[in-house]
Amino acid sequence: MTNSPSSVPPSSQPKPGTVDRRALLVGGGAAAAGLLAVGRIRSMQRTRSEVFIARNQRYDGPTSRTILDGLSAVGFDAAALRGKKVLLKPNLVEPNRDVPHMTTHPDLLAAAAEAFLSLGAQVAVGEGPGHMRDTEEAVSQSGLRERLDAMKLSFRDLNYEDVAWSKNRGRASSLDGFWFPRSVAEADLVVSMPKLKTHHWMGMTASMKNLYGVIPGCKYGWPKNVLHHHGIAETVFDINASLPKTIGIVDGIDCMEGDGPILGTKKAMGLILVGANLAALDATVARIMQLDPAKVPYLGYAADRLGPIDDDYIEQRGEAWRPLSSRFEIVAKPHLLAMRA
Amino acid sequence: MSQPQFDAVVDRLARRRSWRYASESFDSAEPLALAALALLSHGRTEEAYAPLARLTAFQASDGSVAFREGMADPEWCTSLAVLAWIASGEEGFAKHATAACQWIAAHPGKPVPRSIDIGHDSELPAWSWVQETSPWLEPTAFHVLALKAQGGYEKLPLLKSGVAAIYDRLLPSGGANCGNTIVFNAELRPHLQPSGIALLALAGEKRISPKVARTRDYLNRALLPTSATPSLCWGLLGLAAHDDPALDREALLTEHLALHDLDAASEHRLALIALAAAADAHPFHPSGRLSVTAPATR
Repeated sequence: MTNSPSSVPPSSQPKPGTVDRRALLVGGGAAAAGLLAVGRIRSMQRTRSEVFIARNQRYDGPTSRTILDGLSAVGFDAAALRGKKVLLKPNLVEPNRDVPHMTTHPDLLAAAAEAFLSLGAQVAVGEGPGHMRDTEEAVSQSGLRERLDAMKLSFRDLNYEDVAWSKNRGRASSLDGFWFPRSVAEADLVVSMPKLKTHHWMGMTASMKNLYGVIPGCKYGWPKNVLHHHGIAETVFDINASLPKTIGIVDGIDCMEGDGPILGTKKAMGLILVGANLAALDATVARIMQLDPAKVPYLGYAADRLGPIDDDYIEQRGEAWRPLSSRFEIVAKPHLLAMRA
Repeated sequence: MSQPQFDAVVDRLARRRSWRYASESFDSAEPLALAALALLSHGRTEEAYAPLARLTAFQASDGSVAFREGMADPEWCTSLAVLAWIASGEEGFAKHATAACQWIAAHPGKPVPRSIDIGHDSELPAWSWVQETSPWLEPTAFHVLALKAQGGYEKLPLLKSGVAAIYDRLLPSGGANCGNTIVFNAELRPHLQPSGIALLALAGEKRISPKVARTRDYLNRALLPTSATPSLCWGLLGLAAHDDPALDREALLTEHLALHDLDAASEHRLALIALAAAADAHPFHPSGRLSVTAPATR
């Protein structure tokens, strides 16, 4: 189900007077990759998917065990990860030490790394912060630097890495394709590790929106404005449809409500969610926040194309979502109020 | 500022033959331009020639300079190449700078209609990271610096509105981020690097803005030896461009260097440290300061 980097976009041909040396990661296989992608999207239609929820979680608790339990509960084939490249993608949109509930907690990221390392995977952490060009400062402000150093984990600055071209498999936007960083294009598994929080344009941001951060700023800008100009919801869907295999682990321990994704306030939920299908996972997150998944714009695109968002097609593992549901405050704007469940 | 610890940085930079953001990365226009500027600002003219010449291979026949050799776009590094070529004072590079400035002057970002939900003036013509997208702070600041350095563009309306856009994108409380000020009546947070770059571009401007003073205050408060190299160095360069005396730049940089392994430092990082160490020489204003007398905004 991996979508390989494929053909060169006609719009990015070198200008006269320059030499094309970009061939490193751009190869053939477009037709084969396209067939795989079509098959992947078709296979997601009205299939059932499992989402695991653990409650009473703490950052200083045995969260690595929780993550392994979650992977097992959603039917993830952990044995197949031995020797494979796993890229953990936290949300470090614009970290600030005074606002830890904005970004993925470093302890949870370390726990996920520990879990995947225990399964024999080659683990790296990668992020391309959307609002900060100084990624080193973002990593430092997030508190992640200490964890990376302690665990000797490799960090990949996705904003400046070498890139590979992948066709747009979603086609909700008019973009022909995406430049993905090498670490993303070559990963056997990309693990989206978002912070559970509100988003003042999209209603919420979870595992699918977090993958905006795999788009390299050096090609798309800070913020990644090319995507905005093609529609946030549309490009969230398209990126997710075009990436290699993904799963999600949501930091729902200390969340953000109100004016997210940057200025909101802390809301303690104590949750960790795991899903092998990001649409189903984010739909469950929406229900917990008391938003209607069908009214969250990017989930509207993803529904039954990337996975189920209908509750009847999502198997809950661990805790059920209903007893955990808690109203997240949102900015009182019509486009957000319309997303209320 | 000539001290052994900074000379060692410049020596290392001068020996490098790749100009990258990170050791596993590839040559990019920004590290190339910054390395050239840094070497020139320390009087290492001969060693600056290699990155200056390498940059010309990144230039297309329309004058734009790509982020990476062989890629058509984006062209946001064009202005950094201009600054390096002009600083060299070499006639051979002047034609490259001229062509690049012509491209910059003809390629603003795409303004979008103003919204009551957004604090900044999104209709002010300025520059974007990528063609056909909206103007943002850093590319606007770099392009303003380039056209000022080149000279002859003082009456260009785009340059004036570019300067106005930088003022407009400063946060009411001081500092700047990528270029968002207020969304849904809430003021966003500043970041070090864009705050420093904004100050660099506004140096020499005659307009008195309390937001500039607050931006200096923010940087004076927030810059630390433990700040990441790009944030620290751009911040120091911005303050120095305004002759702000509050911070002991030498002490900050020396302490910062003590925390880092120079052997592992990329050319991008070495160049920024060298530039910050030479900030008194105003390396981003190679032809002197210039005010374009931006029209006042809110």
